[in-house]
Amino acid sequence: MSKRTLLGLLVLSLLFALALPLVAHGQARATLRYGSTGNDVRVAQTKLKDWGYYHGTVDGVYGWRTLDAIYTFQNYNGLLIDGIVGPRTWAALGEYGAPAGTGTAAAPAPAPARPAAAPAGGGGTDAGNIGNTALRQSDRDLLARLVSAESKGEPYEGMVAVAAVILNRIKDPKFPNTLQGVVYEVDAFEPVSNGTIYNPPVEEAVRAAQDAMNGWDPTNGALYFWNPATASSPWIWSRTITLTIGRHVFGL
Amino acid sequence: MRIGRWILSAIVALGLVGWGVYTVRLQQANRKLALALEAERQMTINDVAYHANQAQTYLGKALASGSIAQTVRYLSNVQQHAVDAGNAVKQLPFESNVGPEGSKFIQQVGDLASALANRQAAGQEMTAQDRAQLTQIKTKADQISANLATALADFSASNQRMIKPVTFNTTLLLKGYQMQGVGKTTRSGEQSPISYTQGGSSTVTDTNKEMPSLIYDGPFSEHVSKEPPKMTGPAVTLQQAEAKLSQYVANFSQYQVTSRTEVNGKIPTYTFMLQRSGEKGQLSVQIAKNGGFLVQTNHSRPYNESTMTLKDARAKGTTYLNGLGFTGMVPTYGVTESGAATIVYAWSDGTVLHYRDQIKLKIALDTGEVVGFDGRQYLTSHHTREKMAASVTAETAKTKVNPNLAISRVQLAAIPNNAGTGDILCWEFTGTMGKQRYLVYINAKTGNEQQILQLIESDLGTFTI
Repeated sequence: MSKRTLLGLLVLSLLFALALPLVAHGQARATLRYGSTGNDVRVAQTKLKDWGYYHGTVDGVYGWRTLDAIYTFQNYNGLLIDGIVGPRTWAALGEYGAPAGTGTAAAPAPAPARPAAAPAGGGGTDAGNIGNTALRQSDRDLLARLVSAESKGEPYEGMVAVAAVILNRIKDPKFPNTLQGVVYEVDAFEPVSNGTIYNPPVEEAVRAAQDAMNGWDPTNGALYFWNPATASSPWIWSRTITLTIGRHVFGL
Repeated sequence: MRIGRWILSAIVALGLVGWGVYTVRLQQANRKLALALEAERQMTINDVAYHANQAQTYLGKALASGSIAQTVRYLSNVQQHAVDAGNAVKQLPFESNVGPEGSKFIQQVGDLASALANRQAAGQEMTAQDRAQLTQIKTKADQISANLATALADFSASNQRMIKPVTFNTTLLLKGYQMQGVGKTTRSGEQSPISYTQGGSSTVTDTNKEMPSLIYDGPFSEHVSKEPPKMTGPAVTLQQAEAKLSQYVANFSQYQVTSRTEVNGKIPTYTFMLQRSGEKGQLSVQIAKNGGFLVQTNHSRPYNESTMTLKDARAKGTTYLNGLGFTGMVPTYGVTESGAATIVYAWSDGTVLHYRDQIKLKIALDTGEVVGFDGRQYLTSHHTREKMAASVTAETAKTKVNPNLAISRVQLAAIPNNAGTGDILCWEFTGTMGKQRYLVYINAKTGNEQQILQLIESDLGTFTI
């Protein structure tokens, strides 16, 4: 190869290398919510980890630790605290994929040093409140994982219905009195027996679990649900059916 | 001999195949067993956190209560839950370097609660020293409960397993299967203060339960009773119900009705699924067959970044309810989660706030539109009542409230009775003790303490327990 060609190639590759970061940042980032998965989650986690907000592993799964980090980040950067990473939060994270005019491109404040024993939840909350809020989070996660495993691919309303059935059982004297009791009741739910309950929930399942925990119940108090195509027990068909959604039938 | 060799080979081959199948079956069995044990362990570890949380909550109520009888009741609950927590702890193989303080502490809490309850039942009020001791215990219990809960939240979210199924690797060959202990650290790296104890399992059923406080969906909203709805009307047909959609759904012209079904049960309804073009997610609307009232709606679209706060959302909700013809609805408690605010509205007749007549709204914080409506409780309970009058004045009622509570607000409220079928008129005192807020209800007829609710507050809003 002649010297000129070599030089030309060198310049080209240099330009390419310089342009690459701009190209990479030029792609718009997806809006992330609790339960999201993917490469964009990884990007956010990496940034947050570098700045000291995030203390978990960069695994591309938007879970409880990531949520906590995002809350803190949004709080310290003057954004509304909602756990949703949209254009404004991405811009604050320094990702140029945000539409023009939103947020600043200046480096956001890195996380202040955390006091050792106080998990974030904002200022002024004490251990009593933190404990209760965290329990609600872990209940929601458990419910979301079961709903996701049972009804992934079903319409959203079907997911809320499944979650509502589980919660209705807690109040009913025929079933255990706690969420964990109902979920792990022997042979009650297939995902517990086959291990799929331990997979991360899909994002819709998290929102559905939340709706059910906030009281929504499309089933009018149903305690059972089953798949008519596979249910073989004659007993289950003696239940009063309240409604049908997707591939599940719900009954009292 | 040739034939002999063939037979031998065949036998060996068969033997190998049989062995292979056996191994696969063993592997499957192992997996099933591992999952069954996993489920038990998961339940137990959740139980520890749950009972510790319950014990801590009742400790708070015992301290906040102004009535001996109620305090005895709350302390008994503390003891019960301490026992349950202790039992659950004993069923778990915590790693041995976790300190023994925790189990001992749980025992102490139970013992103290029991002793105090007995003394109170005999008529002896709590001395200042008792109160101080209880407060100290509560502070520690708060911390432990918080650690447990956050450790549990981590655990839940990261899908950790306690039992790893057997996999074929060199460790298995050389060392055999290693049973794992339960992880020990909280988010901040501290040891969770529960000790490793050996022992069998015992189940103590908790018969002293109060209102299940697990479903944190607002004050008195668990009393969706089995009663038939008080609000009824002439039966409507599917077509008539569908005609009402334009009345109940804002910007109805943007939607298409994609399906119509029926739901049976206490409040039979017609359910419509609506789709806005280009939008991910559908809106479901349930309209009562009896009377055509709006029962429930739920919009499943994902939310974008918030543009408003909980306070703004409250105003939007009130406007929405007024537009639908629900007058006198007062916003009480609200929570924001993942971009939407859920707010509980209760009906006020001008003097008394009626918690049984409540409507919940879910408001998206990106656009401010109402994406959820739950009026089942309102439909069940709302009716024209006789004016309720208090026999006891606010000042008299105040004397029954624990003097250690710093009161910030007083109002008349009607709360559900235990069966959920009637109203009890109470003076509602909002008070703070330490860093926690409580709602104390003093019966406005008898002057006795009726109920205490704890307000759980965070940056995301307030809900009650």
